[in-house]
Amino acid sequence: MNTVTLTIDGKTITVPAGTTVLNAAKKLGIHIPIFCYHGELEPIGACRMCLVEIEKMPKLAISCATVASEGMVVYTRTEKVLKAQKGMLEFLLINHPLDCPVCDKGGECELQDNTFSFGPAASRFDDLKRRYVKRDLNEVIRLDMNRCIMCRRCVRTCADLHGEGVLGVVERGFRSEIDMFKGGETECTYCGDCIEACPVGALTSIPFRFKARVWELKKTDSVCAYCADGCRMTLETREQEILRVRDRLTPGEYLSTEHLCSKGHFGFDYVNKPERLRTPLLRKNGQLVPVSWEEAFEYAAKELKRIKEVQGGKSIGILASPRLGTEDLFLAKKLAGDILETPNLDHLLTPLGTFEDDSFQRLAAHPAKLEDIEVAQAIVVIGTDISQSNPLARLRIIRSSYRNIGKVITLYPHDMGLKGYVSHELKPRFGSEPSAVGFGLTRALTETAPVNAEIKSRLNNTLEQVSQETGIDAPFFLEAAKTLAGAERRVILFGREVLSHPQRNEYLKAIENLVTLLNSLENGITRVSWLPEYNNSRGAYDLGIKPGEKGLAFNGMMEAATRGELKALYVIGENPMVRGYCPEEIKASLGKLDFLMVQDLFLTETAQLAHLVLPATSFAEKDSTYVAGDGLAQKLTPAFSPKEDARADWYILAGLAQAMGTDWGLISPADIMTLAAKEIPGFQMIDNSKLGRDGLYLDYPTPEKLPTQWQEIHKYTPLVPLTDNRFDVIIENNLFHSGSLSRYATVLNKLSGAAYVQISRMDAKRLNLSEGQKVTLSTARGRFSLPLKIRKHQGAGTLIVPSNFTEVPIFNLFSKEETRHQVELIAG
Amino acid sequence: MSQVSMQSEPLDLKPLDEILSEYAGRTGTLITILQRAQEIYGYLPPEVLLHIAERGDIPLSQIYGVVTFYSQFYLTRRGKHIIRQCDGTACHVRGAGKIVDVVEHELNIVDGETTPDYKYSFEVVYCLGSCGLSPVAVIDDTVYGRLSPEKMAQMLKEMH
Repeated sequence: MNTVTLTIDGKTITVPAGTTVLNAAKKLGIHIPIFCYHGELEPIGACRMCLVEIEKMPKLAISCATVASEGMVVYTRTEKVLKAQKGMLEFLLINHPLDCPVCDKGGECELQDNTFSFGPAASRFDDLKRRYVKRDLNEVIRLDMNRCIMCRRCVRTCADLHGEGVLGVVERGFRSEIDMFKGGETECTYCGDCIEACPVGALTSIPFRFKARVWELKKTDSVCAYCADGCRMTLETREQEILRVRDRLTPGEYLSTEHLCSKGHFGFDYVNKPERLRTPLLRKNGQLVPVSWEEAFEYAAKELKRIKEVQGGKSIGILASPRLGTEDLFLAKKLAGDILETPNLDHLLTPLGTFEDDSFQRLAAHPAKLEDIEVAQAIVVIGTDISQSNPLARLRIIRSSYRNIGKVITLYPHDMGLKGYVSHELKPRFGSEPSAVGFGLTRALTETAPVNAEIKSRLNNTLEQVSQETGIDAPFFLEAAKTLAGAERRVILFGREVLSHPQRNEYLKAIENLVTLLNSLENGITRVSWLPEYNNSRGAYDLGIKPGEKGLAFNGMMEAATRGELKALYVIGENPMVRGYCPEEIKASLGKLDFLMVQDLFLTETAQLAHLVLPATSFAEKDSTYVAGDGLAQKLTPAFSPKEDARADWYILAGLAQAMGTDWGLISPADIMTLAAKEIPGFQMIDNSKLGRDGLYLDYPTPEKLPTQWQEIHKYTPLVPLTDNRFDVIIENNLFHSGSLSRYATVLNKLSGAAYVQISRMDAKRLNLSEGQKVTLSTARGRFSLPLKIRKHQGAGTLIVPSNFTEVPIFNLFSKEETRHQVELIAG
Repeated sequence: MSQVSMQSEPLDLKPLDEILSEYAGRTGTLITILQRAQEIYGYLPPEVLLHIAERGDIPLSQIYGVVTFYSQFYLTRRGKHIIRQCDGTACHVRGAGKIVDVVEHELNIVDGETTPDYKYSFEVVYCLGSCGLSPVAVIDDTVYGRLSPEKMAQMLKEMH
């Protein structure tokens, strides 16, 4: 690597060529004040705060945009520099109001800090300051233009980091303002990162506004408990209340390289809700009444023992949530195996529970790290709207594309919200995705790259056939294949709609074939990753939270309950009444149980049916570990003690075991991880003491090439497209909700409070439907109406319905047996 | 903040599509596209901005920024006749202020406004580059020099 050596304030340092003077100084521990600089974005030199004096340069130079060169001699604290910086601050303060005592930013404001360190004590300007009316840009962002110093960090964060471009600068010169254009399709995703980027109090968070002074908040490092991206965050709490969540900062920095989405920033307040369960509840005379933990444990142990003795362990089932910590899940498994002696253990990987599929096992075996996305030359995203399901994985894709490293190939019937960052957008008709992957891309690869001759001979379809089936013209496949073949590093990501696809098996085989084919190429490394849905889905998968030998998956348990074979069910943090098909049938099945025990934060729809309800703690009160989608195990630290009698899930599980006569001798989550490390392959490394701030990757054997196999896809035909007013329904988690927990978050409900059905613009035009209009979805099983949302880039013939709204019984419309979800759409 | 007015009747976006096709795939053409769009529609209604954003994959906020940056672009519907009265130094000392008063009084609008019947828009500008003819006004691209309040009043009457 080329390096240059320069001297800053008399200290010499050698840095890689291309390093800016600012970053070189930082390495030496020399602080240069900044406003507009943002490490992840191109410098724009707007604020003139980082001026330094460089020998042989006639004028002061901005250190953020000046590249260090050999022999450069830099001074950061000369009289000239200090005078210039003092001048800059004096200029900024001409218009900046001195309302720090009532400003939310006070105490963490860069202007305040820099003025204190570098600024003048008094201003020579005594004219009136400019005045704007403060206004809310939307439900979470408040803009006070009076305080803005026009560093444009917010605008650049929005456009270049998140790829949204919702914020912009309008007008010019001293009239310049930050604003949002309203009424367009480019809508704010409410990620709140512009608020994080603002160095002053111009952009403030409405939910946090005037709640606290920042210095009285206790800061606790944590990990987001929504999706599987494993975003690091900092909880800012006062007593037992979370007041704000921020991107996790490196100490001493103003700006973080960690980022959060709307759920991360604003989805926390369910933790503070008064509706949280605070004591165990036992059903007595048909009513759930508060009882002590002793009574609860005693009752549970008695019931479980009785059922186990009479009907055997097989008549008991455990349904655990992928939201639980790794420790909790491990103990749930241990409870099932060692004490209840039942193979009936499951989690809701799909609304029917887990499933067996060899291709899936192989594809999910060695997840690509999210970091791998940023260095890959080709990134393929298959079968998920990544902007909704994995917002931070999306951010990494955009980052790679922004830096011109990776080319993005998407394969999905709908838009993925990646906008101009996609190089090859393949949009197969809904129902033909397996064909597009397994026959289209693969065939195109055999025509553009030197693939294994044996594999080539097995692919005897033509691209024309695939084009007809998928609606994608052959050249698009060929171009995408060229990009794939030419890349040194490739990452293939596939998401939830692959797992919920009517032709899941073929879809997974098709993906495996694509990987196998890429692996047969001489050049390049291919990594494939399943993008799971929930914070610890990966942990649940790796721990094997699935039925044991001859055990029942969730759906099987429900059927067994109906038949009277399953007598007891222990539901931990899961809400099948909302997340499973046919809630009415599930309710009937649960009603037949002798003993239903539910452990949760709230009295959920499922908990309301229970005989015994146990109050668990939220992620903020828990000492726990989550395994992110890419296998990164990260530790949560409790921000405060549990509310009243709520207890951590692991603690309840251990208590239950003890009540049943087995003392695991566990006193802390660390003990559990030590035990897990012994019993679960891959977890050997995950010792709590070693996890530290950044977490550790689980120990997956990562071979150069994945042990995938070529899969013959027999007798496959794509789904026949529906016509007229019949549509395929896709049920998904939208960006603002995830499962049913987020429905307790006030702010998220404000952002996305009511259910809707989304249709493509083309179909809306064809059926003469307009935005917001009420439409009825109807099947043989039932019907209900929803307001319509029209989206430009949605696949024809599909309707997207969010799964998160309990008032919309979308799961009621379909039977468990139907894999393809068809409805009739009626206006009105 | 500049006001954005919503057009009541649907716009014909076909001519705009032709312009956009002409510049498709070329970068650095936004200002030209906006200028030509404004020639067609007289101003830049939000539908036009949205369409340009969508077809060109340019963030709307960026287009909005450009439109508000340059005074040549208008976000509100303008009058059939556009009256620009100079009130630059030369014109000012020769009594342009009084001419401005006449226009404002006669049309009952102030600088930057358009009459409710969309017949006239009035702007006060600073130097039209013809100080020798001061006071100067430009009405619909025709320059009128050596004006007086009376002359302006007469011209407005004749335009009616």
